[in-house]
Amino acid sequence: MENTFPEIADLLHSVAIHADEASYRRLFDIFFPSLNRFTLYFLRSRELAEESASDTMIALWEHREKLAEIDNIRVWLFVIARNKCFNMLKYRQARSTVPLDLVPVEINFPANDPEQICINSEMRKLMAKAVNTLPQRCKIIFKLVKEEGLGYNEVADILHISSRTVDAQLVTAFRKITQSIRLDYAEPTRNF
Amino acid sequence: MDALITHLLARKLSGEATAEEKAQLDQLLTRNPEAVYYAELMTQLWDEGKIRAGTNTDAAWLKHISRHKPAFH
Repeated sequence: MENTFPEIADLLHSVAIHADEASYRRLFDIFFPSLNRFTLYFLRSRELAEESASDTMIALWEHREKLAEIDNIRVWLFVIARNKCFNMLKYRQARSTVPLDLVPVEINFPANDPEQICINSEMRKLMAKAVNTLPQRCKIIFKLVKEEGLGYNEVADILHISSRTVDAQLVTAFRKITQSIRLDYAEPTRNF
Repeated sequence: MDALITHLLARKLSGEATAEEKAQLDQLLTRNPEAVYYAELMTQLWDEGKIRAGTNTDAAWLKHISRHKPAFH
């Protein structure tokens, strides 16, 4: 995402040095939608999710004088959002050993794009079902990498897990999804 | 699908694959036509979720500044 928004560093600088509200507004545009989706995975209430994302964003403004110390602003924001969600879910004691498996997550697939003829509606249903029946932790990881474009290390930092775990969980997700759409007429898949 | 292909495909789509890994995946796919089918579908599924930039945040912004009024002067 940093590549999509090359101006992030400049915006952070304007906020840090000049308390520039217009730059903050632009950062809000860039980060708020992602944070709101993220908090919605955990809280499942649009209102609570939006409030948590809003309270996360304001932390950026309130910490503006110390922004230079933050290494990766996106990870920083997601960690704050995660903590807000877990606090709200009353996992106060367990911030670093998050019971991710207990967190319900829903993944929605966008409506069919008629240009894309390869995935038909039956397949889409099967794939969506496969994704939604993944273990919760696996599903959150899949979603953060796929939909938010986060890197393995970033997801690892946000969820307090190792990047090897992220890698392994994505492989699990891919395996289950491809199994769900296995061709009936294909020869049995050989796994050596 | 072959475990190694699955692993390399996951790394490629998530932008984590090295140049060597991408080349290795392409190599494996040329010898494994069935996997090409799954790789194609996974690629499509992956790209569908791409988050479109430019979500309208006007309403959220107004709520945000009203909720955190004291933070702004």
